[in-house]
Amino acid sequence: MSRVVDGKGTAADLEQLIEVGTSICPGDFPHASNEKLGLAAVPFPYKMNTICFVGPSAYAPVNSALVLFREEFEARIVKRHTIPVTAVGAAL
Amino acid sequence: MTTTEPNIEVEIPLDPNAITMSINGKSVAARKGELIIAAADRSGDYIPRFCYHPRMSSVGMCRQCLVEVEGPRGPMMVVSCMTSVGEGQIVRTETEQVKRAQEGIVELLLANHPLDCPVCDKGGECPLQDQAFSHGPGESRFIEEKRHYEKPIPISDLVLLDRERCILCDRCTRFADEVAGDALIQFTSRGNNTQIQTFPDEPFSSYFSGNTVQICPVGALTAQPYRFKARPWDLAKIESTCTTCSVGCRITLESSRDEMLRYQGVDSDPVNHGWLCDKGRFNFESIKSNQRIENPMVRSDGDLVATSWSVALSSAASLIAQAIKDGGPQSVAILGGARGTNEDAYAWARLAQSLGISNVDAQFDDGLPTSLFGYAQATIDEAAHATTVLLLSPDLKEELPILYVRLRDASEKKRSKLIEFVPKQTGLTRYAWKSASYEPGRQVSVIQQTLTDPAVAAQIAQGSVVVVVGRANLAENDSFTMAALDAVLAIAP
Ligand code: SF4
Ligand code: FES
Repeated sequence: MSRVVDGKGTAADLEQLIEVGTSICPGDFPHASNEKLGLAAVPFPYKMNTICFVGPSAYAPVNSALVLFREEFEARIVKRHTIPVTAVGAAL
Repeated sequence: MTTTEPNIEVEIPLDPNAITMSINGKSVAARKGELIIAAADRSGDYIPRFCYHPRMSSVGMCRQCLVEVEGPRGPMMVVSCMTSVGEGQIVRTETEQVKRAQEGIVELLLANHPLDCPVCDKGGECPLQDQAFSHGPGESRFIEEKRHYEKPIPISDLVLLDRERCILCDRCTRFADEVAGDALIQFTSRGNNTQIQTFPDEPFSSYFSGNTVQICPVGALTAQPYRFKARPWDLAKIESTCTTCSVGCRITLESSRDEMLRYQGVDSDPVNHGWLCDKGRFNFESIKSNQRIENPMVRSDGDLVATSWSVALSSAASLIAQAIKDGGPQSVAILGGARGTNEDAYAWARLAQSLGISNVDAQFDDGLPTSLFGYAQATIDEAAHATTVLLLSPDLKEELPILYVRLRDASEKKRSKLIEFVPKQTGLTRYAWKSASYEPGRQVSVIQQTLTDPAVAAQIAQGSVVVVVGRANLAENDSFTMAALDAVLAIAP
């Protein structure tokens, strides 16, 4: 996540965030409805794979940010001035 | 057509605990209270697991065993090591969702795992390695720096801990706490910093520490004597019995290039449940001791001189023949040991017979008379399932450690009540229902007093009673122990 925010992420990083989230909470994660994005609300509760409730709660803000404000993240990836961190590693 | 035989319908009473469930479409018979993972093991549907161990309580730490169970709100993901079976339950272990969850877990477990398999002792017999191949995603997307710890740190004289490899499955700590009863290792810190730790100034000095090395599903715990000695696929394995004490645990002897490298416990239901004590597990090191006698030796002029078997045997034979010729067979005696095998004992007894030697003697390890064989004998399993266990024995934790583990388990699970008669505190005193201490030599009166106590008498009357007999102290005359046994038997036959 900080990689994306620092402008060093790739589109795969966003997918990975969602996928790791899906390992924590299988299935659709609950979120509010959004007319602009044409999303219907997914009701609570979430399903969880973890032993501890902190896992899904930690994922909750990540998920809503990624689902409801997707363009913001994509903008950080597409319109950036830095190179992706993987490429930095390779270049060194 | 005449039927002479009446058609009798034998009614087989239905087991009230039997249930039928379905695993991956197969119908499976199970028992109430059984865990899904155990039922799936029987039906041949292997569910990957790290923390589940059939001899310990389930904790659901690793989440590797997630499966899909049909529930009221559609398929649910549940941990099969914590969920018990139910009538008509529908379990699927191979769906897309299950696969994704299991791959996700393996990927997360490996995110901080050093992947140093080539130099890891566990490589080749490592559940993490195996299941990363069978149930893992095949590649990792984590490109960040991994977590680093100092590797390895000794947590006792025998066991070393590599916290980078640890997957926090809770097996070792559960073992120390539940099975061995000395919880000297525990998790400390939280979240990403969780790690196994001993108390700051107390090592993991458990009599059973070697078992944690065996059950660790990764190479985080390694045993000093085996480190970097061999690779598991090079080991020649032979199943055998441990000879260190009279419990006789099942073990495998594992050797490579003619060198004994380690003993591993084998799960044998009537004896050791897979556990070994450190005394038994690590005593193979004495095989390599330079104090071992490797050649037959013959004393000549007061000095022992190494020679060959044929020379040694023929000189022994001629000495015995000479003695029999001079003084007759009654001038020769044979002393057998308590530690030989039955075959050994049979062989020397045959030898004595054929030579006409009647002066033979052998005794129990702790010198109790052989008349003990005259009493009804209990197996270890019977002792661990008896309602009452009377201990007239030395400290079992010191002398027969695995019997201690079994009896401790029986008392912790409230199956048995232990009553011990001891001259001093023992490892089992904490778990004993009654612990009566006596002054050496005075046990008979203490036993009579304790056993006639109404509460104790009521307990004894409740069911099976097993008596564990041994000499509490080798300096004490065995007649005291026998008198104590007689006193017990007089009251609780
Ligand atoms: S050291 Fe091994 S047994 Fe103990 S928690 Fe870590 S992985 Fe599990
Ligand atoms: S084996 Fe079930 S959670 Fe670890």
